[in-house]
Amino acid sequence: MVSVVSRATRVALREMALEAGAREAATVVAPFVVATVVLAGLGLGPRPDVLRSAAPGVSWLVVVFAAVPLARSVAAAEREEGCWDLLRGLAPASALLWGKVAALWVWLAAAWAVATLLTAALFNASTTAMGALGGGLGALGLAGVTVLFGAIIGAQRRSGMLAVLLLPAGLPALLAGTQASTPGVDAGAWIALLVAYDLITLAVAWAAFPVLLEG
Amino acid sequence: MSADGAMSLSLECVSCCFGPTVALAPLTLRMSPGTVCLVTGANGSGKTSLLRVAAGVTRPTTGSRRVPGMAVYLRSGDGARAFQTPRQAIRFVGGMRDSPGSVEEALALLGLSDIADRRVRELSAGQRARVTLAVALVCRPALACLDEPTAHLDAEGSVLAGEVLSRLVGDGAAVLVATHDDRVLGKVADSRVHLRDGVLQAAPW
Repeated sequence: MVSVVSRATRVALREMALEAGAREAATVVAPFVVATVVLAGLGLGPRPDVLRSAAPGVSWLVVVFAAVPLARSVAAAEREEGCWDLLRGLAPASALLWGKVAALWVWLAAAWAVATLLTAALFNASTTAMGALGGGLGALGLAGVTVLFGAIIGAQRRSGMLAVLLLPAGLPALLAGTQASTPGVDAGAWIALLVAYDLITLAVAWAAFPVLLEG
Repeated sequence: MSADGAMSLSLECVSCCFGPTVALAPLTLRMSPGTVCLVTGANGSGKTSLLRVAAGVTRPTTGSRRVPGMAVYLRSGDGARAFQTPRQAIRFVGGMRDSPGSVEEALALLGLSDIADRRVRELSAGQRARVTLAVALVCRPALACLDEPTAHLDAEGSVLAGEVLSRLVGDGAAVLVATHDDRVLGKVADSRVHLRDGVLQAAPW
């Protein structure tokens, strides 16, 4: 009998293989990350202290916005290409949820890493170990929220609502992630907030996902 | 009904409405394991709604549905993403169903071995329909709901569709098939239901 963990791993690996073939996340998100960081730098002006202090917030803003196009991979793209009904029958809800969350976690963490490296290079900003931990934790919670709303939007076929739902739900990741990666700020409390955010979003996603998969 | 009374599909007074539109009037349908039931009817008669409700991918408006095991709904061309290869898509299904050994056999049966590593988006509609049949085979479901499985298939492909149905039945699955072309599939069918405007008619069998 194939376990839930094994099935979730297969779903996640399928997502990775699909990305390797289609490069959809890379072609949509990578230019978006680069353009947003560069434009933010131009908008903030030439003062190095302003750029440095804004860098963590810019990185997290980019990640939260990047979640919107990535949410399409949860259900909308599957539905358009005739695989959503099969997946719903084939995989237990929990395996589908954790597989999709794992894949989105990787994409969002990668988006945060690229944005942080860019701000380091262009804004002369630096990040800390706690900032990197916050990047991983914030991306995990945001992945949970993205899968949840991606499934809702995929079922309702109303993609216009996605940004309205997803961006406010990503606010805790934006606030706590920014503070956790700001040098000189005591990151402990913000990391704790990100852990709580992860637990709440993943618990809600786990509870709601089976209902969302019903017809 | 099978000897022990177990059903692969039991729909009791099931109906399906989309807003004010009645796609399916209340109906009762039961299928035993290892049987094929053809669903015929004109466009818009409710065939797809019946299959989707039976597979559990659309919630019935009223009534109850019972399937003791995995049910799958597949429309011709479904089952593989555009950037997957047939082998990747079918291997994924085989892995999820703990039957990886059946992947190559399914590819060979459906005549897909030579194109198994091409992207699905590069395949013709008929080749995609064969991929769908291979997916259905590897799924090993308790209930397979196949929507127009012979659409886009040539004569040889239609014969293979009949072979797939026979194999599914041999594995103990119940197979509910919506089709306009029952010349080939009719040979393997055990029963038939006809829908008109969402209402189950007496089968002209």
